[in-house]
Amino acid sequence: MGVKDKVIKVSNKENFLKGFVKENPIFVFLLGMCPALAVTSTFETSLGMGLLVVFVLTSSNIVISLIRNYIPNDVRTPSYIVVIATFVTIVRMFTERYSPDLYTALGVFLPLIVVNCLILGRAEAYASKNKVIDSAIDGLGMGLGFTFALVVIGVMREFLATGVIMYGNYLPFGVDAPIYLFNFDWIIEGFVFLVNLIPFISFTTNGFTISDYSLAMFSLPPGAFISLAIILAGIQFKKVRKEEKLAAEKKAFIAEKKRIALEKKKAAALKKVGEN
Amino acid sequence: MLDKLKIAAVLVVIGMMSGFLIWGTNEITAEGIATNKILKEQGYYKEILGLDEDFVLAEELSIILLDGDLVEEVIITDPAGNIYGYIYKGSERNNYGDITVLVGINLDGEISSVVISGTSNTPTFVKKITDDYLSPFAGQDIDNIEYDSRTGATFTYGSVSKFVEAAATYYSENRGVE
Repeated sequence: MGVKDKVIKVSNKENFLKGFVKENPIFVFLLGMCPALAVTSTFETSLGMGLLVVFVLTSSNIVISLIRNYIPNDVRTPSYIVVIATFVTIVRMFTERYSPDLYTALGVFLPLIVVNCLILGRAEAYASKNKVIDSAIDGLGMGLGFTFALVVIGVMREFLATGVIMYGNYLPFGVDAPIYLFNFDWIIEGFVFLVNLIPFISFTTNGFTISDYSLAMFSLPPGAFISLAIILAGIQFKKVRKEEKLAAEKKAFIAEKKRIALEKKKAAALKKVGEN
Repeated sequence: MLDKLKIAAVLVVIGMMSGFLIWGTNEITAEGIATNKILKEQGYYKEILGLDEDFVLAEELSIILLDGDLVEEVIITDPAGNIYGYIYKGSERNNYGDITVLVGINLDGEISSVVISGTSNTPTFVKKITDDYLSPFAGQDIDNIEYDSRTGATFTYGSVSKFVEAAATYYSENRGVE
């Protein structure tokens, strides 16, 4: 019948935080790459998709953990898929009701959350073997880690494609109209303001706006691949440097140990000569 | 045998619970979703006929189902029953996917606007058509519509021009004499 509980010796905090960096679904495991490439053209769509995945992942982890001992092994995967599909359908209906613009923007990728390998993967690898609280924390942590990764890609793409980060176009929560969270023109205006504080200097931008020089390609599919490649390359670079540093430290430690052993050997030999 | 029955029972229970949850969610959201769709459609109608966002349309617009290339005709009226124009909806599946086009014709027999209200056609082609090739339709007399010959080969523009032509023909035959 069910799979036996596995003793997990990690704290709740560790269990929650592992999804952000150490076991990040996108940046480390490269899971759920389809939405990571398809819906990250803006910060808002990335955040929206991420939050929906958090809900589905946490809910499905809780339910699967609750019923894990009653599900026959033969039909484990189809049962999990039914549970996940139920939550995706629920989330799809609520999104269409309360955030129709996000619903339209996510399009086919919203129902496709069902086949997101991250969700089925956590159900199989974690929720089916662990208790409810641990599974809920795992789902929440992994979901937020997934959201974090999507938002990083989304912010990078939107900034490079438009020079601004906006909020309020798709997620109608907390604002009446779309607002700028960041606009590169603010920095330019600030710079011009500071320069103009210097006596006898008058400086204008002559109508220069960053949007005239933005890289629209980053809002298109090739931009998604390039953005992800840059981020992964950065992570890999840092990882390799860390490994090299560790290897150098290990090498130095071994060399030191060898030197101490050699000195001990020499001292012992000298002592022996002295005795003779 | 008993094992198989047990498996079947578990699956039935999971399926029933799933169905019940989806039914409950549908009960909560169905009305709101329908309202959203109406508001969205009405937003398109106002945009197409150049009406203000605050303009109040009649609560129930008269919709006439059509045969042929066009799906329906919507008669745009205010609550007092005054007619402001006609919207023609065309929908088909071309080689790029599905496409739905709304064509607005005002009472002077001019095209107010043409909008692609829903499509699964290649987004890049749709964007090009939307950005560059839909606005020239606005203001054209339905008896003398000029189509762009350069984009004539793309399926998206092909669908659009087909529905514009069908709307103009229907209007001339059925509404032009009003």
